Amino acid sequence: MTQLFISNLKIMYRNRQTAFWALFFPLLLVTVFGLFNMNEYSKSKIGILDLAQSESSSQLINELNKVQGWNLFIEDEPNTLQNKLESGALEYGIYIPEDFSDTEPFINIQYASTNDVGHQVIAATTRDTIQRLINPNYSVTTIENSINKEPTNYFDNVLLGIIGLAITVNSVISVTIQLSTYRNQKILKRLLATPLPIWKFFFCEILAHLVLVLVQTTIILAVGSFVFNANIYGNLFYIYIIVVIGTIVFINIGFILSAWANSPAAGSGLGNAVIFPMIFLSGTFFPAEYLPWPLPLLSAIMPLTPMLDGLREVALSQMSLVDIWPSLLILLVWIILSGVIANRVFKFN
Amino acid sequence: MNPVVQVSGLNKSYGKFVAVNNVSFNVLEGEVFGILGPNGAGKTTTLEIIEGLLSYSSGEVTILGLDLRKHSKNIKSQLGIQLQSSAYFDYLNLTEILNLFGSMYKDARNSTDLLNEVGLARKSKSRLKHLSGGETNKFTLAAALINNPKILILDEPTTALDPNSRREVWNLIQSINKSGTTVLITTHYMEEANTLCDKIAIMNHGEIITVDTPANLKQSLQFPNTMTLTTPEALSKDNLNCLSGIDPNYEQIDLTTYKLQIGTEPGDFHYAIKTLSANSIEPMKLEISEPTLEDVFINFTQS
Repeated sequence: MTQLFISNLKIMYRNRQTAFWALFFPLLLVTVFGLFNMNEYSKSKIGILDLAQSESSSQLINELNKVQGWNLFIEDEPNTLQNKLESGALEYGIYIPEDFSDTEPFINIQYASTNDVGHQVIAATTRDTIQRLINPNYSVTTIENSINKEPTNYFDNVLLGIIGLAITVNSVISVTIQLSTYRNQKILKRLLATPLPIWKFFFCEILAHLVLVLVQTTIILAVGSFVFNANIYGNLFYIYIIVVIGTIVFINIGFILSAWANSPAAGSGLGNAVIFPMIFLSGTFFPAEYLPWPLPLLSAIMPLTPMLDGLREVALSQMSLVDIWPSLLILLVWIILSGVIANRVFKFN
Repeated sequence: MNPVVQVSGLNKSYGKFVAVNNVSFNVLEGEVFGILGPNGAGKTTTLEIIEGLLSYSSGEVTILGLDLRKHSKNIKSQLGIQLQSSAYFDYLNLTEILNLFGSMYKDARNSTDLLNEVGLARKSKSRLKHLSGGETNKFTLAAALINNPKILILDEPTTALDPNSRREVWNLIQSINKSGTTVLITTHYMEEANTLCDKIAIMNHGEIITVDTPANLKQSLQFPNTMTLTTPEALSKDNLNCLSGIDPNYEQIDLTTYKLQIGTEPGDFHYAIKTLSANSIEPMKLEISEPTLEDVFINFTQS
């Protein structure tokens, strides 16, 4: 089995064109996203909690909802809003207190973002809106609390998305093409004529791809961090654990697709047809919550989504593997499901 | 000699299509057993069942005394297999491929020794795509021998090779057989079967039509000898009737050449000459040839 694993590694290493593109393509994306200041184009995610439930508070919410460049989310519970701020799902929280009145309005703004300019804009816009709606002469107090979070930006999120993209492309497309090539050339049939147990073949294929993916992840993280100053705060070991778990899912998907691909060209087309919608729907570059209904629901059940969620929560919010158990659970379900299907549909001949 | 491959009442169907129909034969230890048949006869399907690559609908297959259904893994470890067409990993050299396949068996041979044996020692660091057709076939033969098999199964091992390369592969197969390895081979080259095989099964439409030694198969024909007669000028109608008296199914090759089949008894030849003489047919050239395996093959597969 060691020989089979080493041979797989040699095949990958010597297939330089494939290895080059597998590494170069994600790096190209890192460079593109690193060179552009994408933060300028991102909308602020703001949660608002209306404890006053008065006419003027409703009016204020309506007006704030009209502000361009804001994505306003109405929250019902203080705990929910707080949790979302802490997890990074929201950048700002605007609390309208129960005693919000026409005479002495004050507002409590919490910010989880370290974008100072953005913070000033949020506070000023809120203050201006209140003055415009209620009385221009009233002074508005804003209580600004910073949640103890490390600063992150759009590129940090995208960098982790690129790791997800690299894993998906390397695992799904390259496994599908490689196995359909092996089948077409009757290499799989030749292997079947030996006493080698099938599980050893699967295991060594997965192991060799995992090595490539770990190298790929290390290079992407290194270039992102050292060249483009990406922020990675979480435990690197946890990041690699999520990468390994996610890779197994996508390799299994590659095994499944290769069963239907009767040629390498068909494998490439089939692989692309599966992964590209997933890449865009799973929040690789843009948050899935901005997608029109019911695409966010579709996104939630795709395997790339929990992997990216897990990577971001660990890398940016410094969560532990225990904290992100829902994402890991979904990935484990995907491993079992895709493994069973791959075992059933995979064909040597 | 003990039978090392026993196939009895073997059937394989794909839906309504019967690929192998009630096939039975035995391969004895140390012999070269050939399966001869046209394309689509069921040769490869039969071999792939024996190799454990295909399931079978019914029948019994026993290899080295082991039931194929129960001991597939054990049997695979004792078979050397060269598929009709299969590539090996593009990015590994010959030594690496042999070492990889060797790692799949408990007792593997040394890759350098094997490459020496098949005359590819110089190419040990080359990749398969850089070898000629003959060298590729020699290498796939080496790969089939990596586990020092008791039975070597070769599916059309010399297809698409030039005559020189074909003879080199034949020599290799003969030398492997001499060292004690039983060989089971499929081919549609008559010369190959004639040169290599101790016993031949002729297969057509999924069925074994006959099994015998090449010599017995040739003798089994009703008109085993062929007489090729060349005359100075085209024969008259009466003379042609005379040829019909010797062989009612004689064949006119061109204006002055005729092919007749005659018996092998001395009297048969005497009768033919006497008949020609009585009709004043003076041959310019007369050739008598024994039947070839091709005649046997055509006879059995066209009947």
